[in-house]
Amino acid sequence: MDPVSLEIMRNRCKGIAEECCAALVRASHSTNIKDRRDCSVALALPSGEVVAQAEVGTPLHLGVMPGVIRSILHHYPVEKMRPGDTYFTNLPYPEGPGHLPDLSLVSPVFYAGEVIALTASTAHHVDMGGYAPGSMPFGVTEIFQEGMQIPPLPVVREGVFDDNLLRLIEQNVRTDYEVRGDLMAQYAAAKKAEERLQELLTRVPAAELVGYLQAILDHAERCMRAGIAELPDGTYRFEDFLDDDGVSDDPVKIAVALSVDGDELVADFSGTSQQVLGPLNARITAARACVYYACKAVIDPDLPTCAGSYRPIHVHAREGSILQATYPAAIGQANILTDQRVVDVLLGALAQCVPEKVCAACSGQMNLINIGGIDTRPGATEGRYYNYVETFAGGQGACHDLDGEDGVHTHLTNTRNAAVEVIESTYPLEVMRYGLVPDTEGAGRHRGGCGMVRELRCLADRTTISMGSDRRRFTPWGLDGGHSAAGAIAHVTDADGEQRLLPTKVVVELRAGDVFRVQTPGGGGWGAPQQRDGAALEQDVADGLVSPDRAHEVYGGR
Amino acid sequence: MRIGIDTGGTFTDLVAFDLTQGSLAFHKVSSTPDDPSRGIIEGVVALLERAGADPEALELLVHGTTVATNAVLQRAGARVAMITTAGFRDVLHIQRQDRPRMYDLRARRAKPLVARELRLEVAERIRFDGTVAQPLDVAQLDALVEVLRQREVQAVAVGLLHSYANPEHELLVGRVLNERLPDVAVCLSHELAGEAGEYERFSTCVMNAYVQPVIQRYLERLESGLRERRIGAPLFVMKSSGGVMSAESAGRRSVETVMSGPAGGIVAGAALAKAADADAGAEAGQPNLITADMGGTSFDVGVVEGGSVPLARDTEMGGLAISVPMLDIHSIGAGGGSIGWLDAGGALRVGPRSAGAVPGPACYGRGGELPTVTDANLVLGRLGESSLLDGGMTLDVEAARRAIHDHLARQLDTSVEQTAEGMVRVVNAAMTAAIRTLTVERGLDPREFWLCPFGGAGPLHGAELAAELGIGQTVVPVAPGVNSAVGLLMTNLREDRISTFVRRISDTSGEELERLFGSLEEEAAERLSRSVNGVASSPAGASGVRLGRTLGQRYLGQRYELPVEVAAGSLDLTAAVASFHGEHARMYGYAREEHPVEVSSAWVSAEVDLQPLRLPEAAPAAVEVPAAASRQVYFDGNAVATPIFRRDALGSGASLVGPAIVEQLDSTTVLWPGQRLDVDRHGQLMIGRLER
Repeated sequence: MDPVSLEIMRNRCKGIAEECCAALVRASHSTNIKDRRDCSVALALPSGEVVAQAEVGTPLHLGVMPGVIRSILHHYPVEKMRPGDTYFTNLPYPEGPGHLPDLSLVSPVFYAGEVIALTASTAHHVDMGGYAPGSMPFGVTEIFQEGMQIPPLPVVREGVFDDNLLRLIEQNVRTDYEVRGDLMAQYAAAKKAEERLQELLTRVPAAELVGYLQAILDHAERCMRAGIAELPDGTYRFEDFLDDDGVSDDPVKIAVALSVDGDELVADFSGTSQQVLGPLNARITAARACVYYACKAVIDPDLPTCAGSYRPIHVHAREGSILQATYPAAIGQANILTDQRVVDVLLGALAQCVPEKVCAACSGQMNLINIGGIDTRPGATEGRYYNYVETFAGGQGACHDLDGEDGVHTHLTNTRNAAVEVIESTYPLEVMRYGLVPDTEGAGRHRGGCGMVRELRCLADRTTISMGSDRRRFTPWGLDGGHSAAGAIAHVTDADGEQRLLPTKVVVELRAGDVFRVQTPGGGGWGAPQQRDGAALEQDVADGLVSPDRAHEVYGGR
Repeated sequence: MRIGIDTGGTFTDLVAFDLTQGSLAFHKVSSTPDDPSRGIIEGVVALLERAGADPEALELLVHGTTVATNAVLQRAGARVAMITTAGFRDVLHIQRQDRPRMYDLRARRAKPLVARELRLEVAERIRFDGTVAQPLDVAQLDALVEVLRQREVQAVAVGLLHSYANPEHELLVGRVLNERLPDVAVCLSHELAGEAGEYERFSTCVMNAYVQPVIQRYLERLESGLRERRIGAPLFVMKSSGGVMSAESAGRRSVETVMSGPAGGIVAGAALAKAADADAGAEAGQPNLITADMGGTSFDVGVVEGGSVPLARDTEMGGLAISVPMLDIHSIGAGGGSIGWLDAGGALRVGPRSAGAVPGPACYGRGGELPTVTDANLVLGRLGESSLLDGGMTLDVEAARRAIHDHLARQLDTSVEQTAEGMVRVVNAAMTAAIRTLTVERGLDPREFWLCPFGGAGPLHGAELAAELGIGQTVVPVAPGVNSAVGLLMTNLREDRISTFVRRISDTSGEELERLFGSLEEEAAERLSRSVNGVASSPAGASGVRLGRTLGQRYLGQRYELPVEVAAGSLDLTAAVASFHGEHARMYGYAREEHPVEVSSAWVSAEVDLQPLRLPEAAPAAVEVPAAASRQVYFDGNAVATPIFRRDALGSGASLVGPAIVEQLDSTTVLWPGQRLDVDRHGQLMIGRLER
């Protein structure tokens, strides 16, 4: 395969995936997809090997895509697929999307009577039913309580939607008016991919195209192997803890032994905690996504992302551990909390061999908020169930020569925020404050980023808030003498001014007039704070991000 | 006479158009980046002298400028403060909370143009429906005024929540600041961008405040310099939207000029498409056209559809959001200076790193050693050793060969020529992808378009780009190297007003929308009249205002709307909704006719005709066009003896069959073997399909 044609075909496939993801976003209905872009699209070979992905939504979605496709193919091998079919699932067991709100669609692309490629998309739907709005509640111990499980099933057969199936889903979710629109948007992405691939096939013979797709995988494998080979051989260990699982107060250990041997890499999570009662459990599919992410981030952010680059990477976790939990363990918050911590741990291990390539601990969780209830505002939406979902960014960990960014999504998520003006016009909520929190940064020669605060006032009674947060006890660590950052905090203040502290993992019902305040963790610092550049410290103080007292006490400033 | 002036980093291009004789003259001077007005005045005077024209004979100057662009990209704007709603001063800092590169731990967002210490908060709240929840704290505002005075800011951006729904608090702050700080420029977010979405609106407002004092000073200096030379013709500035505004307006709404530079080229493309329509008569209809501007470091693509250029509303500059209508221009880092390299997996890559003008391609002999696209074109014979600047600059073929051999061909174990062809194909692929972003990703089929390559390097690659995209017709403009300056003389005065208006169709009346469109039209007309006053006395004078209305619609629940053009006068909502369903099916493959539709925005455009330039007729061709020279040129791995033609020897009606190379002052056109070229009546090169 000549290197020029390879590069051209690689870009073309990536372009198709990106175009399809853009169509998904633009046609979607729920704020979580249309504003926050919590979705992704991939192209794969009929074998399920992912060839190209749109790097838009979240690395986590992208990393679990191979497992999603395998799961569909296990029940519906390509030989059984017919033109115009689309299959879907949200079931994480034995492998699949990370939690129930992530609904994945897989569609075959036919050419001359045979499946020549598959297209897959995942989108985070606002609600999948279950115990609390958003379908990622705490206070549950089984997946049955989290929401509706959809095993691999055909949703479109030869171009016709299974309306019975859609009605069954709509009946079981709180925001029935959004689910079909979002599903149609995913379908639009699949149609677009099919159209583009068939267009391509009018110009490139099918056999040649398949050859190119194989070559794309091989090229990515060579790139990844060359990158791993540059890492010093050895075994690097690191561990960190989640505060608790929301059921007991026991910390949950995440531990890795990362071995680099020539051009192969093994991430062994055998030292990690047993599975827990709370919904922090994951399947190894997600741990793999974390390892792929960390390798790409550390080796070369421009590495091609496809099945080929995964070949030299091996991931182990014990059956029955929190990273390879046994059905029907609750799983809803693994994406939000556990997986994000797995990445921190991987970077902690890699800091021992390539410190200049990593960063200190970031906020280490995605601070997920679901707020739902009945809209009581007069007008078109009165009496309707609403459900607002957002993950809040925090501070980024510092690099050896760079400050961390303030209030930014890190690692496994890169979703956008919901605009204040959109939240207020869409939900019975008022945003009182949205900004950075001073003195939450991990101090250092290079400081970590500051955490963020959002204050929301409920306008309706019986407002249910479901929150997944962490890093209150085990705060984001620094490196090379850099300090830890401030951890996560959440409060509710009622109309009388009475304030109470909320646990990090909670479902709670609020009344009209209550103000809910969430503060996210900062990022860890790098190097001793006393070595911080004087002008940089002065600017932080002038900007009000570091208080004069803290500048004096922690940084030793004037 | 009218003059179009396009300032670039290296050269300032000028085009003079003589209305009475219908003739064009071109001129290039070195740019003077420290004060661009010097180079411009020098160029204008030179053009006047060459034409033997009196300064008074000059009736209009149109300027495409990169001053605002550079102020933003190089962080050389004014000292700006911001006043915003209490609790929200970090909106500008957090942006949309996402990071620019998902896997890059070292990528950081662009820093805000206003430091946190100068983002000041005032207690006030307006709700999303425009009602006042909390009156503005005037005493607190008074205290802020003192801070602004002490900090000696040059401009203040005022961005308050929900000001698109009710601007009264922003207006109040504006009045107080104007009164108390008369020397400080004040910008209000709702006046610059009328839509919901606080980050994008605030960012637009702040960027305006940041560039306004710079642009204002620059334009004043330019105007006074021109006056000293007795040039009193009105000065217009190209906007990012492809229309022009008076220098006075540009000095107030400066953020609208951030894409002023590349806009001219796309406008020229649009004019070309219209002219082609007139030429073809009823036979073909207006062609859709893709403009491809390839210079030394960047490749800018634009799309002309149905004679006009689609406008994008949410774009960015240097990592900061801008929400004003801009021509949909897609730029990538690919040009003649783009460097070829091998990645860890052994694949040949080109760019985005560029050798720039200094040290430049290896063949320039200015110290560049890395292989660039220009080196590849030289090795392949597509560029000649003396092609550039009419032989004013000699290229070193041996240096080019050495660079390609040492850095690429040796490792790939292929010949230098094969590697050079590979580099050209890879950079073509990147440019093709950029074109696809603006076409196929918008549901447009490039095969239904013409390609218009320009810029110094565009016509070298045009034939292959067209072939790769399945485009059948390529048209190389008369002066590809100064095409953007030509475009400056081909446009009209234009103003756009957009307003957020969200309502279910079933709850909306035609009369209500009629009122909204009416008030937007009034605002637009008012802005136009300010500009028109400047030229009322000039022969360029305005002739009537042309209005356009677009209604943004979406399915209830969607965020992204699809624009549907609606006629002025009584609004037919049923027809507008039907058009929306059709447009949705076209874009996404389905329509949901049972699902409620809502109106989301109203957009008004208003234009005043400036009697734009029409391309003059070219002299007819001689019976036989002689080749000026011949050289070996590589096509698909074979060296082919290829005749070289001088562009000015190709009069209208001339035709050639490739292989051939056409050379002119600032550009070289490649005609592939078997490809046909016809010169149209304006002297443009019409190149047919390349069959490969």
